[in-house]
Amino acid sequence: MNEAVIRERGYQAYTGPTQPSVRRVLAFHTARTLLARKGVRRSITLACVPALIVGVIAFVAQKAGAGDDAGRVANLLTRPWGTFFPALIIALIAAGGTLAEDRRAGALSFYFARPVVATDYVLGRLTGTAVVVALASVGPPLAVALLHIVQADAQSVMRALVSFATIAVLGTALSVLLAAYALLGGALAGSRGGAQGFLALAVLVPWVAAGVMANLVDGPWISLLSLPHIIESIAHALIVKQAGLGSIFASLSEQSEPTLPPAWMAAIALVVLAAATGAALYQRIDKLAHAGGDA
Amino acid sequence: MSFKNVSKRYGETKVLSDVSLSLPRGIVGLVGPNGAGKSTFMKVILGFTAFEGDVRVLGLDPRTQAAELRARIGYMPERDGLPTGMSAVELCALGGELSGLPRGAALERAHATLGFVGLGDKRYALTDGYSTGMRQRVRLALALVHGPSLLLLDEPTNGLDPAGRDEMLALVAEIPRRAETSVLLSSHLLPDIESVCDQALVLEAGQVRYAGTLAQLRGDDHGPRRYEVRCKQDQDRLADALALLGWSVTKGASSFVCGAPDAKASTRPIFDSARALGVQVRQLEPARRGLEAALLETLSKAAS
Repeated sequence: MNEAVIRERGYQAYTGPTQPSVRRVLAFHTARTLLARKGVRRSITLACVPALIVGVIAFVAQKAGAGDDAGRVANLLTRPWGTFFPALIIALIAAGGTLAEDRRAGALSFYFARPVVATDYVLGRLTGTAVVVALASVGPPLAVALLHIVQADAQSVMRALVSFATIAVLGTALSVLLAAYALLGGALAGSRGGAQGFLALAVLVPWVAAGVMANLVDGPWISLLSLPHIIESIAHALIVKQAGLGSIFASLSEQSEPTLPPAWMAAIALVVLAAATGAALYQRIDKLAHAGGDA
Repeated sequence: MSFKNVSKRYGETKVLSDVSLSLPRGIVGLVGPNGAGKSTFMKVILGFTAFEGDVRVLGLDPRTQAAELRARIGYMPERDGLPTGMSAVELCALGGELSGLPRGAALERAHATLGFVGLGDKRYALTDGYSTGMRQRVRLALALVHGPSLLLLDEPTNGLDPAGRDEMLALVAEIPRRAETSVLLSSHLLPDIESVCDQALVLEAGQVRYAGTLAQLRGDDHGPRRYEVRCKQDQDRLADALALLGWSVTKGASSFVCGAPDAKASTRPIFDSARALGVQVRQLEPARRGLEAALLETLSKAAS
């Protein structure tokens, strides 16, 4: 017969194991919180529509023996009709809902009173946000690129593979940068509107200005500030002008389109933008962390 | 917890000035006027801010081991800030995970801790709609969920009604008994300190004015004995008689407090005088000096 026991169920000292995994926990929490929002889920669904259309066109073209247009898949990432707008909407929601919301609610001390340092907070929040943005920006184009691989014959399979890898890498870079802009907005502004305004200013204004001004000033330089133009330039060089990293160097003095900068310059601009955004974000969060979240 | 020659400046202002002390286990009350350096003292312990000198908390250096230290400290800040859009149990589980607990253990402890603070039946509701008292309880649960060795509470009874205050203080008093957790309680409400703390740390202008037991601060353990005397009638006559014998007397409406002329004096002169005057003593008990009076005296001594 088992002995009866009375067990204290209330608060006791914790004696179990510990496993520091702050970044993973924060990333998972951020992604889960964002995915719980209707606007985010609708944006992901919306991003599937252009991918579906491009996929059907590619499938039919392939069956009809008309070949495929790999550039169209790359354009899915950056063109207004593609997945960029839904991804931007998610970034706008994230801008108002993560760091800016923590600051508005005075909740940063919840994180920084624990073993969470600035690097953990930045990487955790950034990863979670970027994953959700990527579900809209990279997920659907990758599905179409995968269709290309499945349909490709022996001659075109390499090109399809490079196209897939390029979209994966550039789409991830685009998602991470959009997420970083969103967090930086929250770090600088501290209110939902301010964070969203910053993101709109940082992404939309250069995007529109690049489209309008490139023809007026007779050069693509303004588009070096526009994230979609930078991504499109590199994608264009790698996918449309035949696959290979060497194409970036081959197109050293070429312009793909009047509104696009040369790919090498776009690659440098991408690195500079990423480094500057990352440094600004880290510096600001580190300051908040040292104030215990009270700043 | 030990501080050795710790100083902290904000620009030209010295917020902590050459603080050296060692705090024992138990519940320590951190008291002092506004701008005394109480919040900075807590920030130093948590490793939020740079400082001069040497600090050891739980055997760790906040300057170089801040993350390890914060995993063993529970902090309830003064400011009421909670992440939005989450239930109390989700919030506590997240807090536990961020402090290093595995997911399952964090969730289990979130339930137990919320039960302990009296929010067991409300734990699935969003904290956004909680009252001030409930939010304070959640914040206490968040500080406790990972089972810290040291609990830092910054004004934990802020915004609470008298009943809520008593309940919060009862919880705070219960914590060391259940989990061998030391508590540093910062409050400007001296009755709060008096009701739960056995030690006090008095800060003023960034300097330590007193560190020791509350009993010592109040002067319960040494110095001339003081008694509160209540009589059936002719209370003032007895008070005047004792004054003539060299006792210090403070008259009140229904009683008087008299202090013996020396530390060895007994209550005998009170009874002898009462018998001689024919006065009936109804009540006689040691008079405790209030913490407020003791604190003011300590601060004024330091100022002079």
